[in-house]
Amino acid sequence: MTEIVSARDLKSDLTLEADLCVVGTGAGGAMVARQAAVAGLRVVALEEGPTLRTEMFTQREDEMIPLLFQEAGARATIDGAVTILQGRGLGGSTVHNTNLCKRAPDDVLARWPDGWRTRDLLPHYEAVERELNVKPIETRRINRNNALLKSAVEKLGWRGAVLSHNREGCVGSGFCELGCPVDGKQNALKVLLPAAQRAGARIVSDCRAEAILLEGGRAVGVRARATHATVTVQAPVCLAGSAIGSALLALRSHFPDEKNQIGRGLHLHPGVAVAGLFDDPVEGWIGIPQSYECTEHLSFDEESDARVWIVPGFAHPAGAASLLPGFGAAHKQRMRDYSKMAIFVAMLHDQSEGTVEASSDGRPLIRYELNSSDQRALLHGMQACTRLMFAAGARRVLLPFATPLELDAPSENLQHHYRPLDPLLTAVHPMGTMALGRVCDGEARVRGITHLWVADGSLFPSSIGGPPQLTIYAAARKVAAQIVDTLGHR
Amino acid sequence: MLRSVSGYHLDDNIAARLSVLSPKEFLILDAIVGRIVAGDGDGPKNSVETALFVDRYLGNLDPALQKDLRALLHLVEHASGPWRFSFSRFTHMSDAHKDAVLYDWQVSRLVFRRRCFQALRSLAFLAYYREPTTWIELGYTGPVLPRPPLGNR
Repeated sequence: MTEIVSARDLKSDLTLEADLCVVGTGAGGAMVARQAAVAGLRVVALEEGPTLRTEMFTQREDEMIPLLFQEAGARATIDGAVTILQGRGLGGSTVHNTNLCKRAPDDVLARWPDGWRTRDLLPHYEAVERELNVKPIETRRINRNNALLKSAVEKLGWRGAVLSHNREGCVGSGFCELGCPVDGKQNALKVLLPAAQRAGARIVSDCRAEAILLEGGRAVGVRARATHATVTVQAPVCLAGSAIGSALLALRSHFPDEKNQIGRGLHLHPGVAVAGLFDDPVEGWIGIPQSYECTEHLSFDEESDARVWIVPGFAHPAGAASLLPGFGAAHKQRMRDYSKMAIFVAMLHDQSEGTVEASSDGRPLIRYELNSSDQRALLHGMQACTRLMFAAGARRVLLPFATPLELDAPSENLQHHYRPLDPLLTAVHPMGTMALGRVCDGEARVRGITHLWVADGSLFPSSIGGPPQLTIYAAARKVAAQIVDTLGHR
Repeated sequence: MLRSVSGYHLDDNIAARLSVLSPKEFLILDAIVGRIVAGDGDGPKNSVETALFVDRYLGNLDPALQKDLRALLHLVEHASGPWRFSFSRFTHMSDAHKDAVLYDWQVSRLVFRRRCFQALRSLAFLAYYREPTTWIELGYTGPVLPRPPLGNR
């Protein structure tokens, strides 16, 4: 088994030769690295963030947020209206996500290019689900926050379901979003990267890819920067640094792009958290954070304003404090109800499209503005969360407008309180900046450049309206097969 | 009193503990954090420690983020008064006046101001609610695993 090298320790430049260089080690990158290495290719995987180990996950927000999240959790759109949570470090976002595994809906994939429909991804979904132990959460493990959503869905006669996860050995400590200290996540960090290493892949962390090296329309390597050294990998390339990171690297590398398509078509899943106060303890921080979904208002009809996926969204104290509006004594008073609070999140299956651009200081410039249809859909979602909270027995419901709004009955029309960009949003799941059919061809190769593939959420031509990790794993597995076919077994 | 009558004087013992911020920036941060996490009384007794944590936290962040945050502190200090038809610096204002200014940032029609306020709020809450002493009032039971030895972190 190869050792992981931290480029932070390098004192002089390093050049590596390989058959394939994978940029990024999240769901997509780890899958490609493993599949290619097992097929016999000499693989180098580069990771911008640090090497992460289970014993580093301390369950403390102040220690984990800067360690696990891009820009210490402060990554945001250029106007500041949407905070975007993204992982960094070995394993990428699979380290901090809550293990939700859901296939992209048929209605969504039906609009994707040939070769990427349900029937095409099915064998890959099935293989990933087997390998990562994906199965529904047992009913007895549904915590009270999730049980309240379930009871409300049943009372209202709405659609809902228990979610499937990739867990094994989970003790239900409830700290998933801060990294699992008992190694219960069957993710890129625990399963795929070690398998890649066993097959001979070399993994280099703490080095940020600065440019893809091109020669005569062919990708021939990657130049990456570490603290004191430059790392150069001479090899064909697979980009898997996320829909923001991969697009940023492509833009910095000046890929041929006559129609300026790279970085366009950014989709997100912006969410709004609605809090409900109950008479009895909820203690939502205990147990599996997200095990039940409400899909009553999740339509994949492009004309519909009901395009929100509703899930519980509890957080530990600092995160919860940031979710609740206000400050000072009034905010502290709200926090005293923390243990009796449930939180539901309406997450938008968006139609709006943003852009990623390269800034001079190395950070991405992200522009994203909700169109009017998405604004209506989000408001619809907040209204639905409010109804769910009262159906579950909430005494009061708190909505996170800039001027906090507390309701003691579900009847109020939120339209009167809504204005664009209020509330501020938190988004996850960036997708679509190097999409199939637009930037990449049907085999996930960047158009106009040979020996350059993409294997992350950048590929998605649209939002998928749910957690993307399973689809990224599956798509990357498919891309890996194309790469191995092209570069050949050794 | 951390501030002298004439300007920005920070206790030497506190100044010696700063990682990123200048004494002036720290005094502005302390004034903001003190109001964000203020309780029903005059304010939290540990706002200085809370602000010191924010300073240390910034030390681990990208220099570009540090620069943004420092610029924001100066903006709050020197550009808050005019929004309230006052020429006072933020650090010289009464608590009630500071709260009114922060409220203006919170509900501003300018997304940029609301976002800046949210960034300061998130940092203040992260610093404040990291302390196990604050968890008792919330009923929060805290991490379930013992803190690993330093060598493993």
